[in-house]
Amino acid sequence: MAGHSKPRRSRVLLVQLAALAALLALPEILVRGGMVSRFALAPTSEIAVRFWHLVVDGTIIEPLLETLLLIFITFVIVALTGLVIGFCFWRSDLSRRAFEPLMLTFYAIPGVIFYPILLVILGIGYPSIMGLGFILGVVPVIMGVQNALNGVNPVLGQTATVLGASTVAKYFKVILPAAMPGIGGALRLGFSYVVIGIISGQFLVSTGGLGKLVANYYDRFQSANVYAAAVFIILLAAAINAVLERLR
Amino acid sequence: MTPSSAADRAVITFMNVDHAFGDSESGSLVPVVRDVCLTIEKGEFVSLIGPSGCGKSTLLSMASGFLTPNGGSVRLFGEEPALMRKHLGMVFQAFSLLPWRTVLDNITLGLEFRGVPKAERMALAKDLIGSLGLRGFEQRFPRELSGGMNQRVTLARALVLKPEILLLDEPFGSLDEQTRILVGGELQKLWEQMHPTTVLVTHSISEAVRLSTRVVVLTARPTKVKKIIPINIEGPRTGAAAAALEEEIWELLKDEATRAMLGDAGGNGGA
Repeated sequence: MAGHSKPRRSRVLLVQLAALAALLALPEILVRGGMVSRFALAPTSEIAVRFWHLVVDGTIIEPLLETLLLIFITFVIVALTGLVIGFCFWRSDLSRRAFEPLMLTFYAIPGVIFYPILLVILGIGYPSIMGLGFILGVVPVIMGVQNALNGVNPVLGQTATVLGASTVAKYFKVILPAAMPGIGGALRLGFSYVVIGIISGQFLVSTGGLGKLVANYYDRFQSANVYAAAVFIILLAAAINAVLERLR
Repeated sequence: MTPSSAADRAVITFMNVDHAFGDSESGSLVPVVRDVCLTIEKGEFVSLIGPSGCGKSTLLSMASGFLTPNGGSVRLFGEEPALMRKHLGMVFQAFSLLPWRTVLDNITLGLEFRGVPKAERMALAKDLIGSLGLRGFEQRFPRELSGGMNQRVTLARALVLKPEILLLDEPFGSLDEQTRILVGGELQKLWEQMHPTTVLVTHSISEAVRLSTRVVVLTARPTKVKKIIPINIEGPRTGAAAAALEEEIWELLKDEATRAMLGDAGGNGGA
């Protein structure tokens, strides 16, 4: 709004730090003060100790590697499928008109409801977990790729044609690079959804990975460990997001 | 001039060209071009001038083969335009440089598409870079240059292919008056050296008089040719003769521009 000056960076940082301090202090006060049960919440200090053990004694390594591997494989499949289908939608008005409403409806559906179907079709194991990651991740990539290609100035394609580009050169040297910022954004969004899908799948089916780790602690009422593992997943997601933002 | 020699020199021909935009099924067709006949001969510099939205750029889209007219025909060297694009150079008003490529890589893009070896590409680009005042900026990116310099890069990219036909769709439309006069001057010098058959779409009467051998005045939509004015002025086109021609063109254009502005152009445009 006009007339509002931008707050200083140091003030923004101060507010952020104050919010973080409050967030960290709250569990400590609520649990130690007896306002919330230890089964529901653990004091921050205990979560910090459990987090340290989780990382230092290597408990986290195997589940982490398993989760990262599933995320990586699923994301590669999501990216390739999303790029191909997004490109086809952009090229074909008919397929776009036919499927776009379905895709948009898909956004509004909680992806987890597909999990029982995936379990029945693919069985308990990696395929169903990857299936959930795929279902959640592929739609934003398709829509994002299509939007990114739609956003490319048509003059660029015409210029390439007049300059003598072959169809392949036109797409690979002009159109796709021009759409790259949007495609990068779509892939980043898709990646985030794949992470959610894989960890949720592992939590639900409990065959391995970080999701199973959290589920095991949860089943044993080890609330400090549940929160420690959750903090690890949050930090992992933030780190991946930061790396993707850098790449973009 | 015998009919056969005129036909031999014809590079671009519009024959009874009609076009309408919209949906014929819902009956919401807007006629844009009506019965345009125009022949542009080898080495001419022809400006198309008309009211905003009259269909000047539509005619250029047809000449470049990106749009097929509903009626009549457009030919380049007697062939379908889409088959003759290797003879074309084109400059658009919209920003059409690739922002991730340097000035040099943008200029040589067409040569790269046509499989010209790198050393040859550099040699071909070198002269134009000098002529268009881009020396020292070869490794810069378009975002680092002014609008005028970007349009000079676009011009160099088209001219480095040594096109026989140059289509310019309001190439200086986004530039300020001083820059457009300077870049127009550079274009004129290069045209005098290379002599491509050139069609310029412009809104500027003075620019049309300054650069062209003929000015085609178009009517409001649906557009047709109102009058063709030859520009036969020797030397700099800044004196009384140029002013008289500009006045003549404005007299022809004034009514059309008014009709276009008032939006009652439908159906019976032009003389």
